Amino acid sequence: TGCWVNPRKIFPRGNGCHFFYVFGQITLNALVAPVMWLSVALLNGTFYECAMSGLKNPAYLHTVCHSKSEKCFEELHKVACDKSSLPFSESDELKRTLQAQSQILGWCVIVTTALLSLLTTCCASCQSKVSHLQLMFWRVYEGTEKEQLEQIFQLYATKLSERNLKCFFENKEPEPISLPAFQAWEDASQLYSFSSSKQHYSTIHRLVEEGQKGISEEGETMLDLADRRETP
Amino acid sequence: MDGLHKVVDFCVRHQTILGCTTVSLLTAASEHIFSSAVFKCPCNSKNIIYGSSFLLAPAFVLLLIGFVVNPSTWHLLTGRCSSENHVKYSPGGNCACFCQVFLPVTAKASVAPLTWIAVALLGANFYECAASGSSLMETFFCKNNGTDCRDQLLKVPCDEELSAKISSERLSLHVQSQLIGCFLIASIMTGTLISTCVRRCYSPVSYLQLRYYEIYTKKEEELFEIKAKEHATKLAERNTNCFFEATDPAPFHIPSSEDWQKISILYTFNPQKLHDNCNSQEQYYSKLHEFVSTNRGSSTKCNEESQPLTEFQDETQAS
Repeated sequence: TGCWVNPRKIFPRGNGCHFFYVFGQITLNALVAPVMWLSVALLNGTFYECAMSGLKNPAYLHTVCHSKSEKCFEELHKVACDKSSLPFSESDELKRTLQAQSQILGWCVIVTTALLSLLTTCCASCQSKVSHLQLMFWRVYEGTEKEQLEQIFQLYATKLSERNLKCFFENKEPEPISLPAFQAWEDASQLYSFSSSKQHYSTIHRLVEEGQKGISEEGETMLDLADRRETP
Repeated sequence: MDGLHKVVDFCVRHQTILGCTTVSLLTAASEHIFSSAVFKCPCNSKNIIYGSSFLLAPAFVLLLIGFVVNPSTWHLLTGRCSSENHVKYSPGGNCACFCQVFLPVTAKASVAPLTWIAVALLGANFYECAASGSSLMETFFCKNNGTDCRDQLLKVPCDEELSAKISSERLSLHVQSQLIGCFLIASIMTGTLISTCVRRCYSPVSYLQLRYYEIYTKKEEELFEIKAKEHATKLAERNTNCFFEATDPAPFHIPSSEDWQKISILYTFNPQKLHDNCNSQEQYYSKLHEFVSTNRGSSTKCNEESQPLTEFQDETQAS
């Protein structure tokens, strides 16, 4: 959000790679459903059977129609629809072969995906700068902070709109309600990255501990501090 | 209500066995579905790859899932390779402690894959398909009778009469599969019993103390989650209020990274060693217990000599 107006938001100075790291995580999470679809479709076999029976590649045809009649080469694409003139036993065997290829491919996809996911998660976990229990606490904190933010947004939105409507209808002067400034919102919306020297669990936590004034003056210096490179 | 309480208590007391049973039943049900709805042996030279992939690939995936869902795996791995780790791992103790945690994790993760393989073997479809394409079975049934016998063997999973004809004097593939399945189940059960007995025999603590230690570990995990949520809620409330009201934050204690590292170390309960080196009254049931009892991990004679217990060298204490 807001990256068109200020591209420095996604590529902050000295921390360009963080965007790709976060984008990679999002992509991997998004790939779960398509990979499941692909593996279930391959295990089912009908899509692959239909697709590959129409493939005109001579090498592939040779592999499938090996030790079958000559008609196999011309009528393979009709086998999937049961409309070929081949004898039943031969067309049944061809269908079974195609289905077997599809299912073996499906298992390969499932096993490869599972293994890669486990290895990447293990590597990420191993390289973690945060200990196991602190990581658990961090996750709990992230969840509760989100809930608290939603609640406080509701509360302040209610207060502000009540005040505005009251003043409008009763023609009174509005009482002051303090809300964060534009820059404070910008600072709070930055992507968070853990810093081992500071005990901060989120951007808002960091802002609150180090003072909002400091953030708006020092802007990008804080971002350098917040990442792996630590300035003295 | 009383009856319900009794049932719940029973479930909580035997949750490990019930957990394993549930996993086994679910695996058996999925195997049945796969076998009847999805599996169709091609009855040609691809039999062995097809049959083996249905037998072994799901078992492998179940093993990986078993590792992923076990929290001990992540406890073992988190931060091990990190350059920022403040705790140095000594190579000898490292290996022993790793094995002591890794082996039970592997055993738990192996329940589902072994159930899959055992049920699949009892069902016989997958083995029959795979074995009919293997050269070993070809030698066993055909005894170099030429390619006719080999071609017939490949068609056996699709034709029951052919199966009876080929295996008239020998164990059919169906029977072989079920025998291997029964043998696998029996050997797993025996192996589990023997390893549990040996582990208990070599346990450095008495039965009741071990039981107390197991209950304490579970309780500490549950309470950690509750306390972490409470603490995180208070911290989040403070931060969001300060953000909106632009006020200075009230002081709020959060444990430092070093403290977290100290309590996250893998722990093996062995009061016997501590008894020899140190104050015999002190027995720590977890790293958290030790941390809190030894004045938040600050140097004491007892703490420095607790190396054999944890088998890790704490850099900050040694300096």
